[in-house]
Amino acid sequence: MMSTFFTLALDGISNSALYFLMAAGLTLIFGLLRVINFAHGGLFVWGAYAATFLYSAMHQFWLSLCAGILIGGLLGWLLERGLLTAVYGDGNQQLLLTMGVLILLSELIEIPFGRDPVLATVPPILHHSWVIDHVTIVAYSLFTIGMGACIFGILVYLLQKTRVGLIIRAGVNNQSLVEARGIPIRRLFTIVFLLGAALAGFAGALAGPYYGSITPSMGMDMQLNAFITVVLGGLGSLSGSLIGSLLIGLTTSFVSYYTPSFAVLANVLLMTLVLLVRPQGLFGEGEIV
Amino acid sequence: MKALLEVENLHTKIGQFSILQGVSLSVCEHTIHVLLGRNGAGKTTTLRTMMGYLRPVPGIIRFEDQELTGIATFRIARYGIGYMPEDHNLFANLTVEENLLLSLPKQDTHVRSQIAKMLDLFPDLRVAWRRPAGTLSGGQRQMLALASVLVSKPRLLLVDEPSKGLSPRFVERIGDALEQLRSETTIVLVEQNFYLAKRIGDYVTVLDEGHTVYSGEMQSFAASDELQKRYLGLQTDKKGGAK
Repeated sequence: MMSTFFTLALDGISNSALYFLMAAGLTLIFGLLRVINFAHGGLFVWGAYAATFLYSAMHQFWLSLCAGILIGGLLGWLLERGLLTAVYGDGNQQLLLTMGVLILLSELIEIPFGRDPVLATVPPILHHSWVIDHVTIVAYSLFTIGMGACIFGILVYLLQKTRVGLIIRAGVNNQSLVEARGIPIRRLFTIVFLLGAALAGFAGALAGPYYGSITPSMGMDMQLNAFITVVLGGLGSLSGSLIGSLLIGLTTSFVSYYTPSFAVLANVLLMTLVLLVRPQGLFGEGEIV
Repeated sequence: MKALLEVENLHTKIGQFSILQGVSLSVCEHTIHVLLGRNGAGKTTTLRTMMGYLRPVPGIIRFEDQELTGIATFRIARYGIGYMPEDHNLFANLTVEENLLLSLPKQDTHVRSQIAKMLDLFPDLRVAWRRPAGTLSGGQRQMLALASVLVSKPRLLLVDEPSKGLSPRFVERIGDALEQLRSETTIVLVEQNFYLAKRIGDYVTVLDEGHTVYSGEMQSFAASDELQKRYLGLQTDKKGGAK
């Protein structure tokens, strides 16, 4: 019984790492740009396919992760510069536009790869698992958790200790005053959007080997869970995203094991429960870290 | 005296409403130029138009022979124009220290001396150094807002109602600080507190319904009950002061 608990907990935490990478990008983008980016799931899918394709062709795992980051960042840059700049300040247009891009990106990936799952293999160096006291420990899950923790640390350092981070935190609070200090806020929008999009691509690249296969529709599912995570943790809060992703990851893991068809429902119920008590989410708005 | 800032025939719309309908003023270097007028006269809109938040159509804003009309706000700030808005004039989630650091250009090599200078000018900020700006008192917040603009050594300072909601003690101190700054910078000050305005102002421009209706030396304006009554609706009390 306890071994099942610990195995599920480990699985839940590694799930959380993927949710966190998605949610961190979403929350940074919302915190500064006030855009709920539904296209994030599309960037995730493209990151997953780019990394899987590159790894199957070259067998360079780190390079494939970089490809996921690059494709996510590049698509994010094109999306922000090409489309979103025209609809800043208009929530309805942003919603329609980013949802449209999510569908478009998911459909486009079907042209070369089809709808069927594509196998995504774990690199040999991480293809291990250990059983300790009936608890299964998978090396790739530990790696995913490590990556999530590293990204959280880097983001906290970036936001708390660097000038760019200071400007982002200031921009979250008062954009027009940032401009009055001689800082081009639109350039900052692009940087933050690109960073968030690159994180989505990275999450996709990590997710392929984690799930064992990838499909064009995986972005929609991930988008839903990431969105629940961000709302649960508090829109615009990085710490909120961390706690939210842990809650959603663990809930998904445990509920999927006992009653698989109720996993999404359980997450939605958890979000509803939190919002009833704290409408602003666990960490609320105002402070991004 | 040489004009540092020239504003000619400024017209600004917000939505479909014409807020400015012909504002003109000329600001000389190292002076305090006060914008006066009743509520809704267009004082704040004039400053916001100068800072590029609103685009005038038509109108000309010239800063040291550089045309500012249509230029982005951050570029205007980089020309050396500092702006302290009436509300939301600091970053409430950042500490006092971070508010000041953010205002310094990243290549500024005199960070310590500039910040030390601000703390000498506003000693109250020393005790609140690590506190988030949102937790400061009203007076401390206004001092921090002013210090955050001054720390980058602007050549022109646009200040919108720095005394609003402050106790007389803090109004005095803000006034003293602005007076001290006259030798280092040029100030355009929007102020409802006429006592403060006439104490520190060198020149005055009065706006009414989006038009410039009076421009001249503050000394003459402050000495004339008739002008004050005509343009500001101020009555004279028995001691000879405006109220």
